[in-house]
Amino acid sequence: MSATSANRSMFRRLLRRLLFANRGRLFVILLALSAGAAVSAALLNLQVDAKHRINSEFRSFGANILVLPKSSATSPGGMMTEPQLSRPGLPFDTKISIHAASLLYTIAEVAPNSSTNFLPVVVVGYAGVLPGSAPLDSLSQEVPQSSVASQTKSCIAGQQVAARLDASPGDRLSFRNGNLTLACVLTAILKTGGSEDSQIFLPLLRVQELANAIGKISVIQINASGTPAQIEEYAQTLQQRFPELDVRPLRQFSEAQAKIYSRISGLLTAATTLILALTALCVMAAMTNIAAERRNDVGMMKAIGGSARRVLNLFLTEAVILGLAGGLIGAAAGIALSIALGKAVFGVAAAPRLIVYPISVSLTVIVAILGAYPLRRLVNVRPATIFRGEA
Amino acid sequence: MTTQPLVNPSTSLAPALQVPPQVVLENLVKEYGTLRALGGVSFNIQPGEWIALMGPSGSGKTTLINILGGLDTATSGSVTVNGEDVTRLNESDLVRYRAEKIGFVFQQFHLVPYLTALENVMLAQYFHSVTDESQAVESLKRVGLGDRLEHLPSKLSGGEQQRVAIARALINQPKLILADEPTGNLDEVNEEIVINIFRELHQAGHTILMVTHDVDIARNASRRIELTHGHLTLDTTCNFLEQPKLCPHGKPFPSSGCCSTLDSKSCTP
Repeated sequence: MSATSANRSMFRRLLRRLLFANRGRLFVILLALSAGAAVSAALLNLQVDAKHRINSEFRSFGANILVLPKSSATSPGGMMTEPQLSRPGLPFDTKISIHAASLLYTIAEVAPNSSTNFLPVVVVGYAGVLPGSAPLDSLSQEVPQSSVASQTKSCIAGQQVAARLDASPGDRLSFRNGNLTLACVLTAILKTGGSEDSQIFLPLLRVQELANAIGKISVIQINASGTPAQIEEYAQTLQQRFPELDVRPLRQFSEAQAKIYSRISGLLTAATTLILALTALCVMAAMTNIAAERRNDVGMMKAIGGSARRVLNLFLTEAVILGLAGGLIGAAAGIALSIALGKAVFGVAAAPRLIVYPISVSLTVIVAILGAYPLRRLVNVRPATIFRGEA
Repeated sequence: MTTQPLVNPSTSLAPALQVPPQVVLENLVKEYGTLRALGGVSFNIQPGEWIALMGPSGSGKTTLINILGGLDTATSGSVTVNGEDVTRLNESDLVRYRAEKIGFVFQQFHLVPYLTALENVMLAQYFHSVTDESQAVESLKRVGLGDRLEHLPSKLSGGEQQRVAIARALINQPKLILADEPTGNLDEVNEEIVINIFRELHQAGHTILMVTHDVDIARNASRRIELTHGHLTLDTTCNFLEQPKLCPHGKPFPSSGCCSTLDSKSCTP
């Protein structure tokens, strides 16, 4: 056995003896560290999950960037040519997730089934995918036809307009705009509580034909998921690329996201810090007892040639091992705990976030090292003062 | 209980007066605030000597042994061990000095309670340089504890614990053994065993400075130094067994019963 491996073996042997010298005390320290790690891991997991969840919840509300024609002078009728945003080099190659839908608004007369009682309704052509607009996304899946005006296709009506027309899913709706006509089968009723409730949605191409505005759209709705700064930066990039368009980030929306997350995050961070501080104090109290017990041992170790560094290495390694064990046990329990806490806070179970595990274990190790402060002080005493019973 | 000889008697070295002293104490002073524990103590120790350091409680014996062993610092004066002034060593040099040159044996044994007898000995090896389990086992066998290797101190008698402490003190082959009342907590049987070990160490040429209150134990030493109130009051090589109880002028010598004076030559029969 080489000198190094012999000493490593002795180091491990000493550690084992130190750790198991008092099993009751070992259990108390492990319990404190595990409990601290469990609660901090649960709160951290909620914090990370809250960020994802808030982003997800807000994203379901729809767009947070609008792209509009700049002025009626350059875009007659408040429309713009659709392909402008489809050309190569569109800055969708971004780190944040982007979803977009093109919409064309027009007013047409609509009558249900074979009724001749036509009513004016806002008809919206829709193409694209926008989070939270799942029923409308189905309209984009229809295969565009070169001439569809006479064909029966699906459409979706808002709750209010469906009531006005006395239409229900399965009914046939007829549209007319001057000489142009089209028909569709009502496949779903939309209820958002917003203006969509008084609109009828059809595939974009059909509305373009009905409005005699092939290739034109009224607005592009973009949902960018990211921090307010990232969304703002993305909107600015879009504006620079397309100066002829009006790119409007819905700032109040992003800031609301940030404010809510900031409050939750701050609260959870404060709670985590408090828990870890309390854990460190518990460990420190136990370590103070250990320091008193080991006072003579440290004096003896130094008397027979143990340097402060080598004795300290032993104690700190012991603290790291305790921190690791407590952290690994506690963090696993904490992530499970966060699922229950998530139900209480958000009404749904928090998803386990793996990044929380190493962070929580590392924090517990740091807490264990800080809690070992009484042992660190112990190694600075002089053996003679300990043997005299002064220290 | 039998113990194996620590050395082959043929290798025993007698103190040689011609060789330079191993330890030189010059005007050693130690003060604790206003209390003067040592008031300028000076003497030399030759290699291979066994010195009994005696004196009443509070006379500075333990303070002297602590400073000599690098456990405490002197207020003034110097302590030179093998040409190295211990009072000038910094903390890291003192650690090395204690590990390499000194073997401590304490009255309270000072074994680590959660380490076995073998591990207590190996701990000294670990702090010195490299652990060698077979050497540590051999060391414990020499003090008669070959069958107690894996016992914790709490499972050993006082005498056995002290023998573990002696094995630990000797494992790194120190030049100087400092023993602070090593038999103070032992019964007569264990005291005899421990003193026999010290006899063998002395015969093997080890230099021993032993604090003791026991005249019978001090008689084993080749020289006796006595401190009173921090001052050296006796330094003699007279043989206790052969000395009269009274000095030639008829007055008993304080505490020792020996007629010697600071001049050891005057003790010669």
